[in-house]
Amino acid sequence: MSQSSEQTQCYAMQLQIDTFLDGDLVGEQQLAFVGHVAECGDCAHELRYAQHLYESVLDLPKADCSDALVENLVEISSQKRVQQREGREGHEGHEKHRGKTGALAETSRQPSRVGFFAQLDQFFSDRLPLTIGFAALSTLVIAVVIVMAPRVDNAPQPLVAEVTPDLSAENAAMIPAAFDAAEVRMALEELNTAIDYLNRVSRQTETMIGERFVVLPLKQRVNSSLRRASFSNNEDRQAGPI
Amino acid sequence: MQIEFQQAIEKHRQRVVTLARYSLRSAADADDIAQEVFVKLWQHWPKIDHDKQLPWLLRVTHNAIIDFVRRRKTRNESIDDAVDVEAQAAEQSQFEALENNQLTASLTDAIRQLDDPFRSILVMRDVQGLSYADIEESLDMNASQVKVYLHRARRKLRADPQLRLRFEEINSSGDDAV
Repeated sequence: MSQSSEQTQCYAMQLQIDTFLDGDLVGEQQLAFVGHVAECGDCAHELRYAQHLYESVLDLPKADCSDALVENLVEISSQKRVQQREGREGHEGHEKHRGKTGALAETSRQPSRVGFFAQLDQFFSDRLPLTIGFAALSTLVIAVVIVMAPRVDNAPQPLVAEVTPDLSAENAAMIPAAFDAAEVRMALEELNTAIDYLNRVSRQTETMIGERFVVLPLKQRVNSSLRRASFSNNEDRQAGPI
Repeated sequence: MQIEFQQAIEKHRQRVVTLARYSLRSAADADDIAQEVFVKLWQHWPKIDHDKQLPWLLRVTHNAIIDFVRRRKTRNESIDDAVDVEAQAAEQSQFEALENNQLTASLTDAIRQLDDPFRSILVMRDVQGLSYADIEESLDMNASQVKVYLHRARRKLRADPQLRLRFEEINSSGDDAV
């Protein structure tokens, strides 16, 4: 038998070790396995190792929790029992039992929720006919849906403030002589169109770049450009684009 | 109901804590997991199918361990290690005394290093001797999946170099004695 076929056979046999140890290997497969292990030193060694490990795992110690923990748990359940009894008698006494000590008090608070819903369920089933209970529940659900529904008037606000022509006396004084009011208004309207376009681009690109696409300062830049222009006699700057 | 709950704690506490203990290094953490699991048992007591109480507990324990390990991974490693060292120094339980055996200690470490569900299945089946039916129910798997995972877990253990080294040491000392 060639070396590679021996290795393949050994690999196949070693895959069956766990099945053999579990006692699930039967019939011809078992005979073949046992026969191979009897002849092959490597596989016999591997089987000894697997068996030793298997038995060691079986002998591993079981862990247990502390008795204090069990006492805590018993106390939690007894507190809950008292709460249930008090709830049935119509007393609101669970606050008193709530926080005896630290973490235990925290955990003991949680079972009371079960009690509350159980009492609510008991109340509905005992005191109300099924149809009335169902109608009340449906009304409650509809009311919650109406209240929680998103408002239609919550439309997204434009990212850029609308630029309205501000031709007050103060601003008019800053407009250089080379432009009259009608030209400025026209320029600002064109600027509005440009800003609308930028708004659309901004909305489209918002998901990619977040809120970094800043268009708002445009209005301030226009005003500062106009301000600079009013103190300068440079014809090129005045005639050029903003 | 309270008496049944106490009986359930007595009956299953060892299985819950053992599963947690072989997944976590600290006994205090394992106790926390056990407390969390039994509080949940109490909270869900009326809704549980009590014929399948053990699989339910094991499933909740398994999920609690996964959540715990996930939470711990997000914490600062150095703080975590310091806490573990303190906890380990403080704990001198019977469990740890048994771990002093070198092979047992290596074996316990190797089991803790297994990924889930290999670790849980190995602990449930080989350490605790639970039935395949309970394991299937608790991990929501079929019989063949459980067997495949169990065999892979054992192979992973056998591949652990520390364990093999320990075994070779024991084997050679046995040969020397002969």
